[in-house]
Amino acid sequence: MSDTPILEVRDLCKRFPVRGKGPFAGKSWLAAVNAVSFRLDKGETLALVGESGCGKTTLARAAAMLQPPTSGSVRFEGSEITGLGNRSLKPLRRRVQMIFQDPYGSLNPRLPVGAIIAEPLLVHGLGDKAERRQKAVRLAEQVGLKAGDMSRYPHQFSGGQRQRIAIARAIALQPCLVIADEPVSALDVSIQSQILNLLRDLRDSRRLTYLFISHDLAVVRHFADRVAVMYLGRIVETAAAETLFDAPRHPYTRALIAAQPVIGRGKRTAAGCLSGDPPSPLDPPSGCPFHPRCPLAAALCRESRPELEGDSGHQVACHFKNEGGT
Amino acid sequence: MPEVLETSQDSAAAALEVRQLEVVFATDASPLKAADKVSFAVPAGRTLGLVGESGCGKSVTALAILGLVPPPGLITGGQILFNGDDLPSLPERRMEDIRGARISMIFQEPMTALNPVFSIGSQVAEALRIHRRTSRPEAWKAAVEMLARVGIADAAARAGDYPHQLSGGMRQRAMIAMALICRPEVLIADEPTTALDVTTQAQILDLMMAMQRDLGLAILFISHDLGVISEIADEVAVMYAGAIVEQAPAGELFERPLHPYTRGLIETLPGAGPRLPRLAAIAGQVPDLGALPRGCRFSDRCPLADDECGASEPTLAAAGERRRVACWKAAP
Repeated sequence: MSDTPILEVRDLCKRFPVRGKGPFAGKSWLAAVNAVSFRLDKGETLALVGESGCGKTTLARAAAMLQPPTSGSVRFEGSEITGLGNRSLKPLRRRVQMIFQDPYGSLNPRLPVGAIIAEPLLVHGLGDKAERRQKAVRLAEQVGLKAGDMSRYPHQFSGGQRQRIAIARAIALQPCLVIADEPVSALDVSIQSQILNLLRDLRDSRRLTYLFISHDLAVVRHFADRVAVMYLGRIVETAAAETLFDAPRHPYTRALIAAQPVIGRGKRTAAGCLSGDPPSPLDPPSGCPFHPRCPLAAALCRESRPELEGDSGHQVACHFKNEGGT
Repeated sequence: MPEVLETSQDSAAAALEVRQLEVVFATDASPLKAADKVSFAVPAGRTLGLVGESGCGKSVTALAILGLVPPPGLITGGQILFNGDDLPSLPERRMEDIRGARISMIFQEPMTALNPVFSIGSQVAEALRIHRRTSRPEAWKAAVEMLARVGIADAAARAGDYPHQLSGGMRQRAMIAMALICRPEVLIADEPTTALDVTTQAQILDLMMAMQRDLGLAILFISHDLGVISEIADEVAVMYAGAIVEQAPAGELFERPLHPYTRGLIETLPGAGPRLPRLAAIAGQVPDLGALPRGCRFSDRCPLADDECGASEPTLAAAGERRRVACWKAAP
């Protein structure tokens, strides 16, 4: 681990304008990501977890400058990248790559696999045609595809194979940071573990750093070094993976872990089940955003929002983080 | 080789029993057997979990029960026994009386299963209007009561809402209300929580269990998620490439899986135990139904496979008191 983190995000906000109802209604703002800070060191895997709509994807996209943040700072290998234009961001694009959830939607159906994998090389003007082709074959073999697959088209592959193609494309430019947005959620269980193993092998052989987005806590527990739990656009708890799963301190983290179905625990009992739905980010609750669903909520929680506090190893945003047991 | 067990022990009290069901899709190349000699029974008040990966035939089996297999699919063999009737041989008119009233179904994606231009109240009431010929105001009243029972707060006001005004969890509750309003004996749930977040999923599973207790429902619960199946099912049937390869009471199945495929599925999951550097994996991919390996359908991916497995297909045979497994290598 070097001293300069690969990625350092401070007070990042991303807001989207939302038109009100009716022709004369003013604009209002939806705060998808709200004052989020985190750092990601070289070789580390940080997982962002949370339920749909909590802002984990928006956060990752803003941090990679795919959607410029509304405010806040993003430092990539020590230098500020917010405010840079597309041209100045191009070198950065080489070093940050993404893998998406849906391998059916993220591959161009009209390109053969060889061209898909070589496209990033073409875009960045690396090598001549023969070199690119050679490199694409090598990449394909590294992710477990055959050289003979290069002239086939995405629709001829299963979901797992397609995700391999997407991974080969993502590592073609030898990035140092890979943002994987639910990379195994669309895959069958027996394929999920193959892809997770591949991602781990690549991390070891290429010293990749991952920002790993997932809603599946079992996968995160297996794959991540550190975990940040998001709720309604904010990080509510962050800690090393083992600490977070063994001794969660935020009531939301505890509820998430309790709600995760576990094999062999026998039939479920209704205990510890959160009631209600996450509130709308258009109309967030006062005070702590989790208080309407929180079993520990008190008057204080309705009035003031707890800050994310704690030592760098384990931070929690809860007024009662030292109470409530596990 | 003896024929597959004729009936399971629960069949006396079974609300629904499927025997040797075969569903074939006629394609240009060769007919594909999407369900191959599928047999199971679901007793009243119990839940059978049907688990398997995409394309294994679990949804086709469910659709076959309701007589909804889409063309070019056809039921080519077997029986589906409900209340002494064999459903595939009933005329469509009688099937219409059963479907939605005595056997109903809920789907994965409530946004597409609900009609966007009718309020949820009227969609729940519609089932009563059609099946029980209830008057409009009475059906509405019953719909509001049902919506309240499935946990929709302020049901009287919410009943006038349209599907897009509800959250995913609320929509799934509305769909459950729709499925249960006629007090069916059997509920088929096809991946009912797959599109939901974990905390919402937990709520819906709890709701289904509560409704099962209240109504004595027999539930056929289809899912690819072993964790969910483990938490809701009494009995589990594992499907692979069109056939049931193992069936057992849930506790025994997860504690001591007998079929190498079941074992593989359980081992590939990142578990609650110590973190391992690598996950176990089942080699290869699910075979195409048109190109199943010779002999056992799992033989090309099975770590235990030998010549015998490639030569002939094992049938689902008894392994212990309440278990069945289709494997030459499974030690009972």
